[in-house]
Amino acid sequence: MTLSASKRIRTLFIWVTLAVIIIAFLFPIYWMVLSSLKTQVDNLAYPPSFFFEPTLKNYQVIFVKENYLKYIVNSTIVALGAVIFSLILGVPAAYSIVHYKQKRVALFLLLGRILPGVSVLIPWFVVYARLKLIDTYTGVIMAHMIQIFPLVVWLMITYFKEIPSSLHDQGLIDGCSIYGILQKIILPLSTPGLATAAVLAFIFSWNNFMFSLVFAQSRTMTLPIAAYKFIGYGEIDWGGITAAATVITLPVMILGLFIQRWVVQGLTLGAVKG
Amino acid sequence: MIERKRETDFSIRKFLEKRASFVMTAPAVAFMTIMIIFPIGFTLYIMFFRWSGGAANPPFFIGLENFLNLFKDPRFSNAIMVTIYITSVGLLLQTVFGTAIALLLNESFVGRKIIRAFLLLPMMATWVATALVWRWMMYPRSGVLNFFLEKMGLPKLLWLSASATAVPSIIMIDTWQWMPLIIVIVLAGLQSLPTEPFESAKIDGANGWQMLTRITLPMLRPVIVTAMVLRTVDLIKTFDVIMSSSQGGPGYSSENLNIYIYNTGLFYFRIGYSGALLLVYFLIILIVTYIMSRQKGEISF
Repeated sequence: MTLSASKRIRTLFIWVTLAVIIIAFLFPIYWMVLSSLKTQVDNLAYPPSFFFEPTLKNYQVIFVKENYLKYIVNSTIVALGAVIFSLILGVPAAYSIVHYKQKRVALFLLLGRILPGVSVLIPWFVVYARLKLIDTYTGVIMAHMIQIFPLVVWLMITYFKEIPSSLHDQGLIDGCSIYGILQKIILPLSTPGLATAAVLAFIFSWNNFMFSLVFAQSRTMTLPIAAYKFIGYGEIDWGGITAAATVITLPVMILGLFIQRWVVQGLTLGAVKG
Repeated sequence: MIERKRETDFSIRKFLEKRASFVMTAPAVAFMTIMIIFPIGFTLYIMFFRWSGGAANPPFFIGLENFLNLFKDPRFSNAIMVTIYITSVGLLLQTVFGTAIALLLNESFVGRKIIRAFLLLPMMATWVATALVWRWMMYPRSGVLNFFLEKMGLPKLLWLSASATAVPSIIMIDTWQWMPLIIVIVLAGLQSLPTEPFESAKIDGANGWQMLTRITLPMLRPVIVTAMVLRTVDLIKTFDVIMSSSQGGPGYSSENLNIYIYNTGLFYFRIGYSGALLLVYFLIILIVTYIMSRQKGEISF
């Protein structure tokens, strides 16, 4: 009797604690959406109101006055470019690394993840300025690839490792070269892996701040930079900022939910055994 | 003619097949070499010069002057202290509470998947955007955090606007964002633990606390260490959160090495001096990575 009672209290304690933690974690996201639906007057009111008349005016400001459609397009172009070129360079490399066990190459390619971004930023800024690559899609995509590319290679390595090598051997018996095997046997089997790597890389590029801050200043300005620059205009328009934050984060949060397991894998990149 | 063409064709194909490992990795290695090795070489060269980056004024050789200036630069020592502050306190908080929450989550059998999905949201959401939302929540005049403090009968804070609370505020934002990573990693580790030691301990009459401290935590050690290594490397490099919340201020109170180097190179255009700072930064990251990689860690999913 007493045992089950104490067990019940224990379960209740765990559930209450977890509920509090989850609410605390979700609160900033809730507050972001809530504030984006308030007028500036409502936002600056104290105490803050939890019930109010919602307005879409902030979103109107974001899309009409601030022209966020342009930044959405820019972010998409840059992220897609970085993902596509990373896949083209990375997929053959990843397969070769797995097949020929080129561990050193794998570690070398990981450097982009370990080195601080600022260490490549300053030298590349100097070179970009000379080559007139600043504020060009090529320049921004190349910079983003420094971090996206190792991610793609390492994700594909983990994925290719799970494909049994007997399939490769079967291809050899059928007279295929390694290129033929990769193209005709491995890649068709790897569509889910390629898709998750692409989505995860897309999210990382979409979220990138440091490289875009320096290289994507006006014509190619991406969403995070647009939101960051929003702060500078005199009195801070919190409704506008939270609306911008909602527009930026919503797509990646939804994408992220679809590839949960791989999100963790991508974030723990390099600590994975092997 | 035709014969010869076929011959070269043949040799190209032969090269492609014999050297497949080279052919397939060379473009990747070449790209990373250009993007990464060149900047490192440039840094190691320019750190002996004074240069503002302009084409009109070529770099001026000053030997070790940049390194001597490091010792006289209060902003540099401040940046080191801020980096240590953020990294050590952030790591401690995130590891202790992250592990505790993972242990709690492991006890609840319903909704673990949903909870994990929720926990991933702060990491996925664009960091600049969420940091701006936190800046809004920490807004002293009408921010919601001060409202909560007041409701709990606590004094209001200036959060990011006061030098005493700026760094703790940044650590708080970072913890919200990245403690979930530790939770998720430790949770995965917990679920891969064997059940036998727990069963035999139960038979021997061990209580919950004993099982936790004598079995669970020691067995989890490698996983926790790995999570800590990942967090340490990223905490040293904290950038997005600081840049979009306090921007290193007030004054320089929350300016870590990463932000200081960024400002030195790309705001003040002291490229040579930023090279010297970068060398110190490299060394710190190298030493920390080396020390931490000696701890045995592993992750399995």
